[in-house]
Amino acid sequence: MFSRILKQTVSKRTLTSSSRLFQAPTKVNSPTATKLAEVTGPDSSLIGPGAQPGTIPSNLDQATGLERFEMLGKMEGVDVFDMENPIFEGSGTMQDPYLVPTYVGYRYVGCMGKKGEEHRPYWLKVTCDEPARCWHSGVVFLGKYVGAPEHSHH
Amino acid sequence: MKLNYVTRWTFSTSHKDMAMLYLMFGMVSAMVATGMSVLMRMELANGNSQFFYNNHQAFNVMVTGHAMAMMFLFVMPVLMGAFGNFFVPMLMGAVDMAFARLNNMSFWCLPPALVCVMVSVFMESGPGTGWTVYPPLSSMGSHSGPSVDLAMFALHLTTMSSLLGAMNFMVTMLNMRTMGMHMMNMPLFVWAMFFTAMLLLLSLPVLTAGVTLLLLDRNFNTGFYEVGAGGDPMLYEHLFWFFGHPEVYMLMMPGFGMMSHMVSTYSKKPMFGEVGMLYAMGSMGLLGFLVWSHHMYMVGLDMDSRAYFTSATMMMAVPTGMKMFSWLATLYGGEMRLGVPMLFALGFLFLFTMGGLTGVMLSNASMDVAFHDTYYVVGHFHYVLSMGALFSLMGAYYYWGPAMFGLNYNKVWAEMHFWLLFMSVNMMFLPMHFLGLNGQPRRMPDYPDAFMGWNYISSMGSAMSMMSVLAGLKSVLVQLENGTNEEFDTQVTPDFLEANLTRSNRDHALELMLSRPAEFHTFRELPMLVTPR
Amino acid sequence: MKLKNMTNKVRGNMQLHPFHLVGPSPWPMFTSFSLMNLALSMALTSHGYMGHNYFMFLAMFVVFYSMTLWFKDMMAESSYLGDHTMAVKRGMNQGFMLFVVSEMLMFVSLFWAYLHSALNPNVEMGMMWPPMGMEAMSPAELPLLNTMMLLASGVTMTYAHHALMNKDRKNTLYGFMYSTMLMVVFVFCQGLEYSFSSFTIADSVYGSAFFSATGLHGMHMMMLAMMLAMCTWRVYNYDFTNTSHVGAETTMLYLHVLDMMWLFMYMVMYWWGS
Repeated sequence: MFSRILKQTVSKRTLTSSSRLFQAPTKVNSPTATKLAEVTGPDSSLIGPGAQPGTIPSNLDQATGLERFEMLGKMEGVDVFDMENPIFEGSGTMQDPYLVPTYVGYRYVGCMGKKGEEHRPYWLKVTCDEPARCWHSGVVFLGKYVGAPEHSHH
Repeated sequence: MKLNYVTRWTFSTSHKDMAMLYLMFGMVSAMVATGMSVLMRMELANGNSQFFYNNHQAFNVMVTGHAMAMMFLFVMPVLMGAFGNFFVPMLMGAVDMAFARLNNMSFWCLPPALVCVMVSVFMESGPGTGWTVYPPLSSMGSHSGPSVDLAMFALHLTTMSSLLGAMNFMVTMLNMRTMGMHMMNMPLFVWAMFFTAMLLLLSLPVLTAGVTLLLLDRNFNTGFYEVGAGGDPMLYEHLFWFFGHPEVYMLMMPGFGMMSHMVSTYSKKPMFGEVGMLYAMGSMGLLGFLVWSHHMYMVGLDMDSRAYFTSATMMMAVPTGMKMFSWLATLYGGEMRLGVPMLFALGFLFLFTMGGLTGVMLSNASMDVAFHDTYYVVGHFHYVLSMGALFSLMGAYYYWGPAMFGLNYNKVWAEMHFWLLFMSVNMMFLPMHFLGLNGQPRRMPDYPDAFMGWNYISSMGSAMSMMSVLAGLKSVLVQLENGTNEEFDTQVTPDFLEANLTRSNRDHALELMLSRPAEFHTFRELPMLVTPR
Repeated sequence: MKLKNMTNKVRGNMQLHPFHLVGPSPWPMFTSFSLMNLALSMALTSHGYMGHNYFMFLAMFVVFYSMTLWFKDMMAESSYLGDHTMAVKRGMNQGFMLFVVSEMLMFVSLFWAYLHSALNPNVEMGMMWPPMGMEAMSPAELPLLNTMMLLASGVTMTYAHHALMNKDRKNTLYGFMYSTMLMVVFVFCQGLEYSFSSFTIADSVYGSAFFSATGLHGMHMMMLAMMLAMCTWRVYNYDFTNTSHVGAETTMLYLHVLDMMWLFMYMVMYWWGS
């Protein structure tokens, strides 16, 4: 699931937000909503349309916040929390490390070894600067920053 | 987001802040309980009354207060509340406990419990019943004041705290594991807490019922434990010990978990037979529910019942022994490093074994005829508690303290603490076995002069334990005041070919890798446990 | 807003994990201190240190009030703030099931107390059960009606649940209201039973065990009646959706468990014990 999003967002990033940021960082066109009507409505936006009087509402009508976000994701087949294994790039060597997506610049990864050669979890702090290597199985990880460019610490 | 001081510490929903609160509360209760124990030992230093002026009721009140404060207000809060709360989420990669507000309530029920215990001890003649509070001694006829009622309410409050905490832990462990972590991948301390929580969940309601029935008997003229009304004091003993036996396993199990972590870290070897350890803890938990009447051998149960409980209790030695051997097997062939937590761990291994062996002696219904209610029992449980639970507690404090506070301890003071504690507890409790074998009854401040010798040694041990408490407090003080200047106790020494530069980036234990102290929100993103393709 | 097109920049500004990091809240401390007041006032009042009952009742009220405030916060966080993702809801259900397990054990120990004396009645009772001179409550009269009412409430509850899942507001409300009314009538009938009973809680271990077990059940039924009333009100307020109604699910589980406990109690204490 995440692979699909990542591919799409990776491919889309060059077309949408980050390219715009590189071109004109202070002129990003994202207007702030001023009326409730701009964020609500029938096509699955921030706030649902609310229950019809006299019926039991559905989650689509009524859920808000993180719950709504999760629900909208599920409706499109996207796991917004990426609870499945999100590593799909790389092959674990120093030349081609596994890329670990991170929004904050580092992530803790517990390596259990490659399939067929599993060992007990060895926790690594994977940063975006240099690769981290599992001391037991030699698998190499490198962080891949996927957050907003200005929030990166580098 | 800046938190107001009062908001942060009284309205907390952070598992780490609550762990600190539990730790401080536990330390205060430990001082109270230790004080009571010293009073008792000083009174017992000689055959006639030393300073209690023959007030045996007051002595028994010390007995009761000491046990309740130690077990319910020190060991359980520190093991489960402090270490459990702090590290279980971190070890699992969880962002916090499942029910953060409920966690706070679990903590805040404890100061009220301490208040109730103190009020109980100080009002009228105090609860001179022992922590087991058997009727008819605790019934209205023998204890007509509010003390026993208040002690029961204190137990209700600690029960509420532990029960809610148990539910919290179990849901966290079932629901909030980080990605890729299955139940079998959880570290051993987390599993130990899981079993502890399960035991709590299943046994505490039975205590609540037994204690509430006692309250009803005392105040509402019911007849649960009154023979004249058709009731039976034995019912209380059954209900109490159905809780009481799992309770003592709950005191030990977090210690087992912490031991596994300490032994494997300081031998630089993975824990031997991790899955076996898991099953051992699980079977000890299960078996703990099936052996309660070994506390009741002398009340007139039939022979067959006693025979069953004898065998079931002796079977308990099997998984315990398995754990012992696994720890020893972990040490064997490892690169042992005698850091302070390791000293405590080694002490645990030896002394808990001794306590367990005396337990096997006590498990026999026939041998128990000689041992029941003597100092042999007191010696046994102090070996497993004062040396088992306490050593694992102290060891874990030194092991995880730097991770919790970001402050290192002074090795010299910590080692002094260890040795003073080790010598004093052995001096205190070893003679108790001899006294018990010779027949000195427990919970009695007066004894024939023939028993004076060993009692005197035991009381000297108590005085030395005061010095160890002082050394411990000094060690904590040095850690808190000067911790940033103290040398960091590298828990795992580097391999020969290993670079020091990349040391901090990896570890077998997730909690040792995080920043010290850990950030307020430990994980903004969930850590991942992966088996990459 | 199509999530497939959501950029990482936007995603990175939202919470990355599905769990609920609850904000600081005074209710836990409030609840535990009011519990302390309850304990101290009960102990001191019953030993004559107070002179009147008011502190005790005040403490009971404050405990109840603090719990209300806590649950109110939870309802706001779930329905109005949307903090309860699937993972959180799963956790709530698991937690409530564990709570139910502990409550079941409490009832088990009361059964233990009952059977300890009932299986071996001692000589002070005439070695018979019910004890000599005591008249057991007839299981075929009001208790049987109570049993039927509880079974009926199970049916109305299921009816309400299915109506809720099928977005049928009218029938959901009817189902919850019928269940609430059945619970209230049950508690009322138990109250009648108690007032017309030939024995009290102080009448030997028979009365003690009987009334403590049925009384604990009755107290739980009162709590359940309140929970059902809350659920009815929340349905009226459009709080529940057809797929997200953890409060209703927990209430339903509680009802079924209490029903089961009652059945055991009926069979052992009313029927076998008479």
